Formats: sequence, C-alpha cells, structure tokens
Amino acid sequence: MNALRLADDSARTELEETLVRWLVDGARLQEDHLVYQQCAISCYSRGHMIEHYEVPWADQTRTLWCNARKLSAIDGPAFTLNAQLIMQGTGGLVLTLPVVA
Amino acid sequence: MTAPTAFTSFRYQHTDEVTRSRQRVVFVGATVVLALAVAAMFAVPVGAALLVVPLFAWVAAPRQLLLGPRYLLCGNTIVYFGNVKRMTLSHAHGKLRLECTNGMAFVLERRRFPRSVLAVEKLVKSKATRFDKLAGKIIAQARATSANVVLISA
Repeated sequence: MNALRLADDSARTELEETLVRWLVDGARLQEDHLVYQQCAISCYSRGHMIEHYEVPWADQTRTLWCNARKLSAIDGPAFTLNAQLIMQGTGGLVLTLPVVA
Repeated sequence: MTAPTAFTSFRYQHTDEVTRSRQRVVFVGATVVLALAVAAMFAVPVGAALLVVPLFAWVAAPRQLLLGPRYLLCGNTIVYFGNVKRMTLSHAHGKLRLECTNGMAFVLERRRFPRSVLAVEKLVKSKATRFDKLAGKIIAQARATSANVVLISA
C-alpha cells in the first residue's frame, strides 16, 4: 500500500485489512499472491485470479507482486502477455507511509 | 527500504495460538538436535535432561498484544484503528470493545492480563492499571486515526 502511494485514509485501511486477512489466511497456499497492475489489485490462487479490487487513487505505474513475506516489482508486459513473474526487486519503490498534506 | 513498524508489546493472555519468533524456533530446533546428539554420543539421561531446555523455551513463548501506530495485533486478530467505528469502555466489567466498519469486533479484557504479583489486592490493582494504560493508548490511537469513531462508556 505504501508502494502504491495510497494515503492513510479509511478507503486504504478497509482494503488493506481485507488484503492482509487474505494473505494470512491459514487456508491460503504459500504460492498465492497479490498483483498490482494499472490501478487494480488482484488476488491470485493456484494461478487464477479470485479477487479483484480497483484502486483508481493509486499512484504507481509499475507492476508489483506481493505475498505474505515479500514485495517486488515485476515485469509488467511479461506478466500481461505470458503470466510470467519476472522479479525486479524493490529498487526505486518508495515504501514509507505517504504523508497527508 | 522502509524502517520496520515500531510496536509496543503487552503481555496479554489471548486465546489464539502462541506466535513464536523465528529466533525461538531456531533455538528450540538447535537445542533439540544438541540434546539428541549428546544422548547418542554420551549418555541418554544427560541428553534427556538437556531436552528440558528446548521444551521450556517452546512453552515459555509469551502471549502478547502488539500495539502499533496504525493497528494492533493480538494473536490472529488485527484491528486497524482507521476501521474502528465505535468503542465501548466498561470500567465495571474491565472491557474495551472495538467495533469495526466490517462488522468485526475485538474485546480487550482486564482479566486477560497475566498475574505478576501474588497478593490479591495487588493483583487486582496491577491488572486494572495495565488494562487502563493499554485501553487509554488504544482509544488515543483510534481517535487519532479515525475522526468518526465514537467512544461509549458503559
């Protein structure tokens, strides 16, 4: 959420709580993950998207991947065209909580 | 990278499973291996006696409530202060109930603070003090995070 530069407001915390509960769900598989792409966050399980949340107020042009333990930017075109997860690390991502003006 | 979130920890006897740190799990694993090695190479009674160390380390893992700037963690429960819509504080029953916008509720209970003193009157006072301290912090955090949160005294 910090990497998407989402301000700490009620819209963010409601979505954040939903995603955190999904990530820490004991029934979830270890390889399940979240992908952010083009102002939307999707939950993937067994290679299939099972949830989808629009976040039009996100300020991030890169494609991001996250599981319960790690966060990484990924190659957006490779993910879109071939569903490939090519990790690019967290370089260039701002991970601090956005300051409300 | 960003700095890790700063949490204040409180001993609290929640009913969820105890969460053990990675260091504790590694320590327990290493001492079990050491005890088994000693039992195999030297003497079984000595190795068996050494198993007390990992057993104690495993059992002694504390139950905690972690209070952060945006949320609290208690066992398997996470409560975002920004999602709290109503707080009900009952000094008489020693309970602080937090109700969230998604319908979930968390109750902080005075009786779940561990006993650290033996005298009954001191024990009651100690639990009350710790409950008041933590409840006050939670109320302050929720008020700072969520402008519309309501506090009810029961």
